[in-house]
Amino acid sequence: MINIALLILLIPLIGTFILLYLQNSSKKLTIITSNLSILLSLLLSLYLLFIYISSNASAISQDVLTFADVKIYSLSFGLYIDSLSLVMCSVVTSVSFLVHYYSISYMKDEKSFNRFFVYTNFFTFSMLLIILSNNFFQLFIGWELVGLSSYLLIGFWIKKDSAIKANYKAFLVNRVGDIGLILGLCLIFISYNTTDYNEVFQMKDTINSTTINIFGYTFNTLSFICLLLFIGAMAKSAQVPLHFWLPDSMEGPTPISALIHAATMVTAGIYMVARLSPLYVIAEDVSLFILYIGSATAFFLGIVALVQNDIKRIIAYSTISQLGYMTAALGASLYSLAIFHLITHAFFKALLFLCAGSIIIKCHHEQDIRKIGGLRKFMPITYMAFLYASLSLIGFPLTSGFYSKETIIDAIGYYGHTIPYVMLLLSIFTTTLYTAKIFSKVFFGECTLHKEGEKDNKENDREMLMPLVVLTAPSVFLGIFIYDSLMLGNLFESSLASQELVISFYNNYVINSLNFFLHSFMTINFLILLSGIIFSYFYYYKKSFEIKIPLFIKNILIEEYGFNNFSSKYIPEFQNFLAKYLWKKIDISTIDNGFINNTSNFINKVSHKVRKTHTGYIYHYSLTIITALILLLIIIRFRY
Amino acid sequence: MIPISYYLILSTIIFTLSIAGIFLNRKNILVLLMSLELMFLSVNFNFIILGNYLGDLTGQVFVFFVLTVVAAESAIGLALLIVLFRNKKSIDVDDLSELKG
Repeated sequence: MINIALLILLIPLIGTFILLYLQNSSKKLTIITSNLSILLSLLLSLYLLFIYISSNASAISQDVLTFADVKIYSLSFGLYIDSLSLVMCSVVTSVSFLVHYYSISYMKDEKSFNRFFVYTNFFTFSMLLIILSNNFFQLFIGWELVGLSSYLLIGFWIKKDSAIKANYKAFLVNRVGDIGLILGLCLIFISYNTTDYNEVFQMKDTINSTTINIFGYTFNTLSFICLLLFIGAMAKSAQVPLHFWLPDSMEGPTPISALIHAATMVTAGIYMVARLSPLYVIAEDVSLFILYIGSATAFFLGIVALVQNDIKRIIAYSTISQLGYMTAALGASLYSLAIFHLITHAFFKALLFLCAGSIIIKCHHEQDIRKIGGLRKFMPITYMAFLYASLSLIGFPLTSGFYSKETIIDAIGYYGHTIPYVMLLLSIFTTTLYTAKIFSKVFFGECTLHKEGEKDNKENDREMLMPLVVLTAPSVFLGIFIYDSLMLGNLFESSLASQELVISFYNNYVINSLNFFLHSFMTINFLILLSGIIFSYFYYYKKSFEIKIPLFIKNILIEEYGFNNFSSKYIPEFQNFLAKYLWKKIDISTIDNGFINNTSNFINKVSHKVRKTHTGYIYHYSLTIITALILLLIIIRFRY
Repeated sequence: MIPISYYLILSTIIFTLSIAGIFLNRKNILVLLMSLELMFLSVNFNFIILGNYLGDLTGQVFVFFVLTVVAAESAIGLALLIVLFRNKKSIDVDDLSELKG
């Protein structure tokens, strides 16, 4: 089993190296290598998941290789195989494979075709490294590699100025989170003397009673570790206040947006918190913090999507909002629900992005939805795929998104977290609105891009549509299939903590998936959803009324609550100010003038005075010598 | 019998004179050498007097050694003086201030 897992991890890496070697050869070889490596990885993941579930095996954590073995610590490369990591592996590789396949035709006119696949393969490998790692150190390496490859991919079009700025931004914001992650890692090592997951989990209770003193405040060590690690997760999973890199990262090619925002990078934070759920369950105060951060992200960033006009940016904000749902579920200690939503979201969001890519290609890289329109006639398959993905996104009953999202909302309400519950409920409404906004503007209405008689009004080619069709199936039906087994806790019982919360919720509230479906029509969730749909039907489609939003609110939303300005204007300004102050006051005045120049000036002055005593006349010297001798004799005389 | 203190006072006077000669002399480097000679003589005088007084011949023998060294020293001093004069055309003490800071 460990060998297969090793293969899953290494095949994309080997693919990367082969692709690097193939730099100047034909496109066909590049296509075959990149797709085959991910496909193999996908098949092995599914096979391993199947074996794992059917054999009821228990979690395996095994070190494969030891890098360094110092007396206090051994740095090793290991794999952690359990249902959680295998499910994640399958999701990541399947989405990644479809994105790869899709990219063949999406990127076919691209000059650096090979480079793209080198990056994507490497990206997949980095993500798998995070998923399969069995210690914090390896997690950190994977974490950084994901950051690196996302940096490379967002800035794939290296000559596009905005892309370079966007990848720089993504990288920097992730660095902020990495500070938290690395501090948490150090703290774990200091307090547990190991970085292995299992060993840490076993010792978690011993550390819970200890406290740590920082700047005169005392914290519970475990809570503090969890908080620091969560800061890392906040940056990777785009939670408020470290979310603002994600919309900008839409500058990359669209398949990359699908890859980054559906299955890989942004889910890393969610996955990490779920993986460390035994620690987070104990740290209740941090969990509460996570809950509020998550629901605030879901609510406030969803609203921002309403004023955006770039199709990819709207979907990006919806990603942030959906990640907020997952984070809220993590905060409410409903880890398996978060993972469930992660899985369904991976599929329907990848589908949304790939549809967006298909639309963008058709419209010659026009992304402004005000200029696109009436595509329903030209692109029936994309239209259907987008429709299903949207239904899943807004949580229309019976779709995957419905099961994962409604369960999170209801469970959070069921466990009495009122404020997050309300925020998540309201977020349903905004989700419906912005989805309907894209939908009505892109697929209905007047088409402004295509002129009369233009021939280019066919659907995209089959390579591009195949992934859309394939992804529609899990986007719509996956939820209902895995819902019961997942909720009952069979699947994640051994890998996630506090599964009993989910199970008791299931037994008391859900009962079974069919019942949940029927029950949902009577809940407030459905009412909000329905009102959202009706509202947007009249507002966006029929345009029967207009709403004037007060300008200052609109400005706040367009400025995205000022996070962007804050990060790109005020922080650099402050840094400039600080740097100038340090340069002028500390460096020049104190160090240069104060220490160095002052010392030399002083010595210079003194030596100018001292040299005057050297007259060069023998009698002066001799007088000095004799006087000194006499004085010495006198001293000796009176001392002894 | 002249008391020993008289001799010692005489030798101290000679010694003091020679020291004064060294740093009061501003003119001639020859005078400087002469003052040095005088200094040696006063010390030798001390040796002889005290050797006689204590009945110890060592002091008087030592004077011979000192005289030898003094002869050599003044020979070197005069040789240096000649070289100096050749280079500077002067044996003025005031002119010898090359080490002035």
